[in-house]
Amino acid sequence: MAWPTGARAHVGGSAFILLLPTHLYVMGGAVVVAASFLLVALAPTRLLARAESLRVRLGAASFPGRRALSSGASLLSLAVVVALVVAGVRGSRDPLANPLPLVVWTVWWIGFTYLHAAFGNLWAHLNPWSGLYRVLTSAGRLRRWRESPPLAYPERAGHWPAVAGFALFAWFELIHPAPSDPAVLAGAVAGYLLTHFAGVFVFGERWLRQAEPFSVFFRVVSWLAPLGIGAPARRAADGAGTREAHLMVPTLKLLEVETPGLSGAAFVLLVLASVSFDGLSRTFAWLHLLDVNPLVYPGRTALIVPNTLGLLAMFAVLCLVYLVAVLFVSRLAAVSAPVSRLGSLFVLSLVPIACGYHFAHYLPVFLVDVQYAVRAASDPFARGWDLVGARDLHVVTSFLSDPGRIYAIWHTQVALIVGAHVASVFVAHALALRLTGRAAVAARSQLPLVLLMIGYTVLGLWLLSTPFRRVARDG
Amino acid sequence: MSQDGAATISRRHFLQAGGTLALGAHLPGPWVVRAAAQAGQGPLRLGFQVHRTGIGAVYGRWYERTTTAAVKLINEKGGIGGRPVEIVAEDDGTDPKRGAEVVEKLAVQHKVDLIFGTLFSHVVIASAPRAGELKIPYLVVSEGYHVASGRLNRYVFQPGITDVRAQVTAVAPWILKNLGKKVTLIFPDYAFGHDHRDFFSRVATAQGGTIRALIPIPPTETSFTKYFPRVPADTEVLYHVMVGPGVLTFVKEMGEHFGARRPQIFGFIDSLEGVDLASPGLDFLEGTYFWEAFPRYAAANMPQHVRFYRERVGINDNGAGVNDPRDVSTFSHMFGCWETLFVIKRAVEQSGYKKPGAADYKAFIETLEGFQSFPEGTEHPQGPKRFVGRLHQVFGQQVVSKVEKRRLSVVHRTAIEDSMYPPEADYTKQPL
Repeated sequence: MAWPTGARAHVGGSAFILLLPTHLYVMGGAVVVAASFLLVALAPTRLLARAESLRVRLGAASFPGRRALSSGASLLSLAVVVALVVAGVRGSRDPLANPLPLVVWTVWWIGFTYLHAAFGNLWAHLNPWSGLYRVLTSAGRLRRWRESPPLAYPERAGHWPAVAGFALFAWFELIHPAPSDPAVLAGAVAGYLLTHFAGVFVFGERWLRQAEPFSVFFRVVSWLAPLGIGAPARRAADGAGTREAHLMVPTLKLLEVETPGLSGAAFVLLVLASVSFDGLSRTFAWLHLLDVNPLVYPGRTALIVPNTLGLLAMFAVLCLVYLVAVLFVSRLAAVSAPVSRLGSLFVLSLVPIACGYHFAHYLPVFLVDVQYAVRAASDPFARGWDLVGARDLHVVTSFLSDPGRIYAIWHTQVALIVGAHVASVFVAHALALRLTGRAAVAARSQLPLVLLMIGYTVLGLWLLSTPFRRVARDG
Repeated sequence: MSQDGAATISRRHFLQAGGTLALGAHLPGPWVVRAAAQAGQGPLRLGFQVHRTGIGAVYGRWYERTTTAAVKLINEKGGIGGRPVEIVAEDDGTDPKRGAEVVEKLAVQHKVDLIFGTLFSHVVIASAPRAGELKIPYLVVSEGYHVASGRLNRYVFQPGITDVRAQVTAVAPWILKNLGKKVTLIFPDYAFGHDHRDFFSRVATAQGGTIRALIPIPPTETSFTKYFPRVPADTEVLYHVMVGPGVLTFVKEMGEHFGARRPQIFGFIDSLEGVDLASPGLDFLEGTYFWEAFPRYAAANMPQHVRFYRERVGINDNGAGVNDPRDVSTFSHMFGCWETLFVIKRAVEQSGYKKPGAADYKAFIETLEGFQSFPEGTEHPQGPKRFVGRLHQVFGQQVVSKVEKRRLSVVHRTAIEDSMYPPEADYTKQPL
């Protein structure tokens, strides 16, 4: 006789999406991306150049003591992180009541990413390391540490430590059995904090820019932001000087940044692979491949090995496909630049795709869990406090079950994914134009990348429309 | 932890309860006496193994809200045995391996008095042996037949919700009598569907029904049009228990296939727990029947204790949250947490349970095994219950409802006896 097992795979949002003619959305998305390529290829070069240089000046100001302000923000951030780790150890065991998992997985990993895409690189000031490092090395014998750190950061290391760190993070988020368990997460956050403190003390602040995964991640995301801050005309000793704030076309900051190098390219591909794998690993198709019944999902523990292999395979396949595309670009562009340089240049055009999929993928869970985060902030240590008056906040969870809201979210997701790919097409073309100098050659050389982008549009929309286990914090 | 409009469980309710005890002004009835007699022992700590994340999170959320509401009520009335109740919640990620770890963590690290609340059967089946090894009472709210089957152990009970075998056994005669005797079953092709196939077929054929066809559907299927032609033309009743994201498509395509010339249709609300019956794709269900454990939609004539239960948990007339009317509850399951907590209260108070340990657990378990019935009322709002000590399983009334104007209206309530089946186990013979 068959032993009864759980029946309660909840219907979830996926059921409503299955009622839509999703294949039309997928085809429509592909057509829009292809059409945007034609549009960009045929548009006069000066029109594109105008879009690139479009600026709306917001104002200018000088910030005396800007560096001190930045250090203060960092110290405050450190205090918050320490308090969160304490809450993780001492507070509620419930991952939806303890502020640590809510802040890490919802406010920071999802919400901060949104903020960086809107306002630029906040993590440069809000990271928990630089403030303390600057205070400790501001005077006395340690002052010399700052001027010449004990070890010089090796050039050859590039962003590779950040790639390795982000891979560990992705594994922890997607595959570890209990990344939301407050105690487990407290250990992970404390370990992360100390590791990078050690890095900063040994190599100086350059460590953060090069090797700390989220300094790299948030900097990459900030290249999408429409808000730009001009460098000061005259640099003062305290980092002050008049800076101008302006608005520009979102994502076009990508055309102004330095080429990220091979390790930077690997980093962007890893981000894209990990968010894509998060989507893929929830689909019934993936579970079917693993011979797992999605209606009695066996939990994360049972899938550690296949999902680890899947994450690695996703990264490997993406790197391979990208490499092949770049090889073709190199041939079609007929430029003498080495493939590695082209690879690290055109990876900038994948940044909008990686971020667009991140935004779309996490949107529903963000809408729900951010409310839990606000509530947890009222009583972070489960002491019966009501610090921000939200202790009794009712968390609206029908974003995940009400058809009207599910459809609204789904259409937003589709728009984000298609929009991100259109932006990618534009960025890739602008980069090619710069490389080849001729519109026709630039357009022709972009065909392999455009095919890749159309393919990724189809994949992204398919991941959102195929039956999947609910996207919720999971473990 | 929260419920609608209420605060976090754990210490907060304990503190509120403490305040109520201190005031003492509105503590009614016999609880006052017991509260005074046994006060000073500190809170009774109940380990709540909850599916906070993972595939069971939707159920977990409502289990948690119901638990919060029940604990608040218990504490307002003086706690259990005069001790305020403190809930220690641990998320198991709906992951069987973590389930066993959570049981151990609650027992060894948090030193709770008892553990309750587990829902998903594969988590229960993986966690129960650990509870048995640690010799701590483990009260599940799972609806599975695994408790009554004898597969688990002396420490595992299901006193707050009936099992799937009882549910099928109770409604089968009504289906045969009122809807038709020639039945075709459509079910997901895995253990849950197989239970319905086996239990229903057994009861139906014993009572003069005919199973016209058994149509298993692979769990990952998303299009069902090719299965409907396999329903024999002389089928009088189509019995369906589809679950998962394909359900709405299933119903829509069933409608497209049968149209107005459909057989009678009977389903289990498990398919649509947490889903508004007015959702797109479900039009075809109008006039069909469902098993419910507890009627989701409020009726004008519902008893006062049902009204009270709905108010305390924060459920509106459509079975959705009062504060989020689009958030439909898992109404036919979550009452199990409420009723389990009141069974715990009764067993702790009658057994004189004080603290974790072999002697007190023995008293608790033997007292619980000695229970025979629970009367309908505030503590058991779903209805009266019969408890079979040797099976560690509770039995109750089942409800048949009809979809009318995109709501469910009760058309039949079974007797408790209708759901009883010959027992296959006797846990009381196992050593403690």
